[in-house]
Amino acid sequence: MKQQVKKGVLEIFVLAILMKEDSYGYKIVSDLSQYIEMSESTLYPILRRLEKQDELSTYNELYQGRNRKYYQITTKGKKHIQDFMDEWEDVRKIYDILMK
Amino acid sequence: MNAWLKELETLLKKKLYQDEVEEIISFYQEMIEERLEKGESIDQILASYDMKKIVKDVTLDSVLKRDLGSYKNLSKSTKQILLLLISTPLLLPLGIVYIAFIITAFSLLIAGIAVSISGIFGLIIYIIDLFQADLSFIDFTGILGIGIFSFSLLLLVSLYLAKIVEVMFKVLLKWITKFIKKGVTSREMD
Repeated sequence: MKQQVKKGVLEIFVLAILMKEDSYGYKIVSDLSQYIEMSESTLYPILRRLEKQDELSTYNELYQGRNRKYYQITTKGKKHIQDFMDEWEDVRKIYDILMK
Repeated sequence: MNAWLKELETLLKKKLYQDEVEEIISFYQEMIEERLEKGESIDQILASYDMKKIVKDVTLDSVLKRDLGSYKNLSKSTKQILLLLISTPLLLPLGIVYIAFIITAFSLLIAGIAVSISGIFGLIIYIIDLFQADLSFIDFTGILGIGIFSFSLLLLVSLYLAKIVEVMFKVLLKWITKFIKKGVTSREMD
């Protein structure tokens, strides 16, 4: 259960970053560094997993003579975030009870 | 940078398929180029990567997500998961179970092959005996028919044995994959 939560959190972090705008590998790592420490070698399997789950789509854009791979959240990815938020609403309530 | 990427490619090629290797190399190439552009030195960038860890993580990730539909993928994934299990102390007990399973599966396969080969030889001898026996045409065709029918049944049994082994491998690989994935997820947080 604990590991499932960790897995979910990491994926949601990446999806949340991509909710704002399409982004590329380096920028995703940089943006995430404000909230969580995530190396490039950690990010790669997550991006790949989300892509395989059809929660992300990718496209290439030419940038200064080289390819830059952009990641875009899909409808399925947005639903993943919503489902996660719904589940965590209950966790927040538990937290509120404990903190009262 | 090119030498580092080449070295990574060489290591990955030993374990992964070409398309998987190209995807990973392209990811790291882009990362390095972006970091160079932001002003980091190449030495600083390359020093931040642990090539062995990259190879281990992406290999595991790729193997676990592979489609096991073909015999080639099934065979390669089986071998790589076995290497992973026996090289990780915590997963060693699972590796031993896995080895025991592989031995059982191969025994079943060999049994299937033995049944097929003995069936072929049996049929040949059976037909020669029939020709040597002084039988009427009706007896000859009748007995030959029974022989061919029995041989077909043997072949069918062999084919089912092979199919059972394949299904067993897939089920076990999925079960082990789920188990290992939990470990991978926890390592991602480290």
